[in-house]
Amino acid sequence: MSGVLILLAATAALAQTEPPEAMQLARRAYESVRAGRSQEAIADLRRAAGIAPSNALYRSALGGVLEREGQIEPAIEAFSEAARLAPGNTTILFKLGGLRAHAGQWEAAREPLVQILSVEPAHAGAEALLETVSLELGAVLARSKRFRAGQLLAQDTAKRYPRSAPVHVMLGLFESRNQRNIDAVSAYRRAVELAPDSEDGHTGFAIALSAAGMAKEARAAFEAAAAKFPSSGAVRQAFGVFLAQLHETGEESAEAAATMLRSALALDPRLAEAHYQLGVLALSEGGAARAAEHLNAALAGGLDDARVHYAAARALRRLGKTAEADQHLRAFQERKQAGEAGP
Amino acid sequence: MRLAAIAAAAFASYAQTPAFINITPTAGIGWRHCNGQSPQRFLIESTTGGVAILDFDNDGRMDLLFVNGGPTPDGPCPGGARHGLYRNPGGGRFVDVAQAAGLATSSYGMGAAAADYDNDGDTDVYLSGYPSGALFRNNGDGSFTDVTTVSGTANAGEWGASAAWFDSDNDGRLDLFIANYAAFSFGDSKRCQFDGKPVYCAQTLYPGRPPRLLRNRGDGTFADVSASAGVASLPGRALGVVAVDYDSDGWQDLFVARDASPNLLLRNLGGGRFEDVALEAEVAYSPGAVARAGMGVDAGDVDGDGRPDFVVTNFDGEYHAVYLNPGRLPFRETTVSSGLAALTRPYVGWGVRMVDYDNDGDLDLLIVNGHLHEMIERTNRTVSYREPPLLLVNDGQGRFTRSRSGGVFDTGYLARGLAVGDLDNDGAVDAAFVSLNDPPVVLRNESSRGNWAGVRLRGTASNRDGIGARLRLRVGARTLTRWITGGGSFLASHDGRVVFGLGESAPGELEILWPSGRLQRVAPLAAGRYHELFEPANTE
Repeated sequence: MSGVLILLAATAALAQTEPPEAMQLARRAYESVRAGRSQEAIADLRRAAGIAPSNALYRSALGGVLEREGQIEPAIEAFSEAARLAPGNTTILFKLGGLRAHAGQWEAAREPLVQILSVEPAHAGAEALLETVSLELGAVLARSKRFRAGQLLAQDTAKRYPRSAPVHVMLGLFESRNQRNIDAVSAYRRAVELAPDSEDGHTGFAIALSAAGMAKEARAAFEAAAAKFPSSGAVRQAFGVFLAQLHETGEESAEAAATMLRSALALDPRLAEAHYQLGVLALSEGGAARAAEHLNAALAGGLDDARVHYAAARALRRLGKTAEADQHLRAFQERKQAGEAGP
Repeated sequence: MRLAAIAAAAFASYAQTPAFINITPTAGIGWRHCNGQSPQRFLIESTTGGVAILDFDNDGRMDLLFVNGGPTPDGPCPGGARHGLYRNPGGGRFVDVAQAAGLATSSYGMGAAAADYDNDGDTDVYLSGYPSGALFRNNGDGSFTDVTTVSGTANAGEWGASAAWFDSDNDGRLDLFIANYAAFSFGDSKRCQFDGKPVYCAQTLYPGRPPRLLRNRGDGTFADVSASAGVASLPGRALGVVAVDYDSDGWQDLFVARDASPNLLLRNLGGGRFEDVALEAEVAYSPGAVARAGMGVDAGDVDGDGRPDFVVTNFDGEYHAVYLNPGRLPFRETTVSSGLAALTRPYVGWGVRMVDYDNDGDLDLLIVNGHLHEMIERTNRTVSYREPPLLLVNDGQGRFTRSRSGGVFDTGYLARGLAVGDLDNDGAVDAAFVSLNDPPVVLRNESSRGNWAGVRLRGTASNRDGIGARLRLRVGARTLTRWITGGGSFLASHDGRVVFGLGESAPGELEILWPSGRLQRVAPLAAGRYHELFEPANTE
C-alpha cells in the first residue's frame, strides 16, 4: 500500500468528528486512488477540505495525491495549509520540508524541518534533511553573494551540527566572506579535525589563515595540503595564488608562484584561475604575449569575469592589438556595470 | 676592529635619531578634533579631520589651520567643535587666533584648501564639509570674511571632501575643484554591527556623487562649470585630489582618488573641458581590476625623470599605489617593485605627501594611516585600528624603504588629513596631521642634513601663488623637477613654497615654467634661504 493510500485510509478512518459528507468524500477519494482515478480523488479531497476547513488531514491527503501526480507546487500548497492547521504534526511538516527540498526551495524547506526538531529533537529524518537543505541553501547564498545571510545560516547550522565537516566548511566560507577571518580559521580548523581527508577543509583553512594575516601558518597549511592531496590541481592552484600574493609583498619570488601554478595546470589543465594568475604574473614582468595566451586560456576555461578581461585588455594593448584590447575593455566595463562594482 | 665598532655605534645612534619630533605638547596647541562619534556610526565621522599649513598673516612664517568635524545628532562634542587657527610667531610656539579670525562654520567640517583666489596678496581659505562648504576671504588684517553665498561656492547638499585650487583655464585666476564623496544625510538609517557593536557600514552602501568644478570669474564670484567641463557625469566616492600638468601640454590636469570607485585622471583638454583617461592610463583600477579605496593622492617626480608621478593611499590589503609617468599612457604601476606593497599592506592610508625630508634631492613619502573598523584586530592579526604614520625613503629611483624614526612613527593614530610645510623656515620641511578625536600632531623635522634652497613664486599674469608652475633646478649633474600643485594629500593644504634639497651640492640655474606659459630662467640661487621670485612680463 502506498503512502498516499495509507494517508487516505487514515483520513477516512480517523475523521470521525467531521461532517459526514466530508468523510464520505474522503472515503471515495481513497477508492479513487486505489482505482487509479487520481483526478477524481483530487476533486473529492478539495471538496472535503472545503466542507471541513480546519481539518489538516484532508489537505495533507490532497497534498499526497497531488505529489503522486507530479503537481509539486499545488502539493506544497496543500501541505503548507495542512501544516498551518496542525503545527505539531511532524509527519505533515516532514512531508512539507521534503517537498520543498525536492523543489529546490531550500530556504522555505528549512522552516518545517526546524519546527520538527524543536518538538522532536531526535527526528532522524528531519535532522538529516535539514543538514542537506542548509548546505544547499548555503551554496545558493554564496553564489548570489548574500554573504551576511549565509553567515547567519552557517552559524545556526554549525550549532546544530557540531560534528559536520561540510557545515564547518560552509561556516568558514561565510565567515571569510564577511571579513571575519579569524573566525573563518576556527571554522576550517574544526572542519579539518572532523574530516582529515577533506580537501575543501584543508584548502579553506590555508586560505583563511592567509586572509587573517597569518602568512607563516598559511604557508605550512598549504604545504601540508599539497602533500596530502598530491594529485589535486585545485590545492596547488590555491597555493599558487597565495604565493603570488606573497610575491607582491616581496616575501616570495614570482618564479615560485609561477612554478606552483604551472604544476596545478599539469594536474588539471582546465584550472582557469591558474591561467589568470599566470597571465597577471607574466604581464607584471613585461611578458605580454605569454600573458595574453594565459588570459585567453582562462576565458576559454570559463573564467569570464571583469578582472580577466581587464588584464587581457592590458596585455593586448601592449602587443599593439588595440581593437581586441578595446573589445576586452568593453567586456570588462559591462561586467563591472553588471554588479561587480558600484559607482 | 675598534674603528669599526665606533662606526657601528655611531651609525646606530644616527639611525635612532628621530627624523620628526611631535612638538604639539610644547607648542601651545590646545585644539582637539571631534568627529561626534555616534551610536549610529554615521560614515562621515570616519573621514573628517583636515589641516592646512598656510601663511595667513603674510609674516613669512607658516601658520596652522585644523578643521574640525563637529557634533552629530546623537554624538556631541563636549568641548565644542570649532576649527583651530594658530598663528606662528616663531620660536616653536603657536597662538590660538581662531576666534578673532572668524573662521567658523555651521557645517560638519572636512578639509581645507588655502590659496590667494582673488590675487590680492593674501591667502584665502575654502573649508569643505557637509552639507555645504564655506569660502573665507582674507581681509589682510588677520581676519576673514565668509563670502560663501556671494561667491557661489557653497557646494550645497554635498559631502565635500578634499578640494583643490588650480587654474583650469589658464586665465590667471584660481578655480576650485571639490571632490564630493557620497549621498548622505544624518537621517541615514543604515546601521552595521560587528559582534553586536556598532561599526561603520561599507562605503559601497552610499552612492557616489559627482565632483564640482567652480570657475573663478574674477569678480569674487564663481560659476559652476561642472557640466560643461564634463565632470558632472562622473559620479563616484571622491576623497582626494591633486592638480598637476601630467602630460606637459600647458593645462593643469587632475588626479582624483576615489573610494571603491575607479580613480579619475582628468586630462584638461583646454577650452574648459576635461576627459577622464584613467582607464587608458591604468590608474582607475588595480592590476586585479579592483576599484581600490583611494583616499589621498599626491603628485611629484619620484624617479627623477622630470615627469610627475602619482601616489595614492588605499585600504589595508590593497597597498598604497605608485604610478610612474613614462610620458605617454598607460602609466606604469610600480606598487610592488617600488616596495610600497610590502611597506603599506596593513595600513588604511589617508594623507600622503611627496617630500624631500632629508634634502638629498629625492622625493620621499610621508603617509598617515588609521583604520575605521574599531574591531579590525579581531579579523586580521596584522592590521591594527590605530596605525602609525610612515616615512618612506626614496632611493632616487622610486624604490622605498621605511625609516624607523621612532616616536611618532611607532605610535598608532587614527590619522586623516596631512599637510607639510616649513614651520621654522630652516629648509627642513615639517608636517602636521589630524587624528580623530585627538589633539593634532605637529611634526618638526629634525633630520635635515643636505643643503637647500627655497623658492616662493609670485605670479603676475599667472595666479599669484604660482599654482601650476613647474620648476627645474640644476644641481650638479642632476635636474630636480618640482611642481606647485593644487591640492594633494587628503583634506589638506600645504606650504606653497618649494624647497629643493641639494645634498652636498650648490644650486645651479633654475628654470620656471609659469602657468601663463612664460619661461623664466633664474641665475644660481644662494643656498640655505628662501627666495621670492616674481613672474616676468615676458619669457626670458
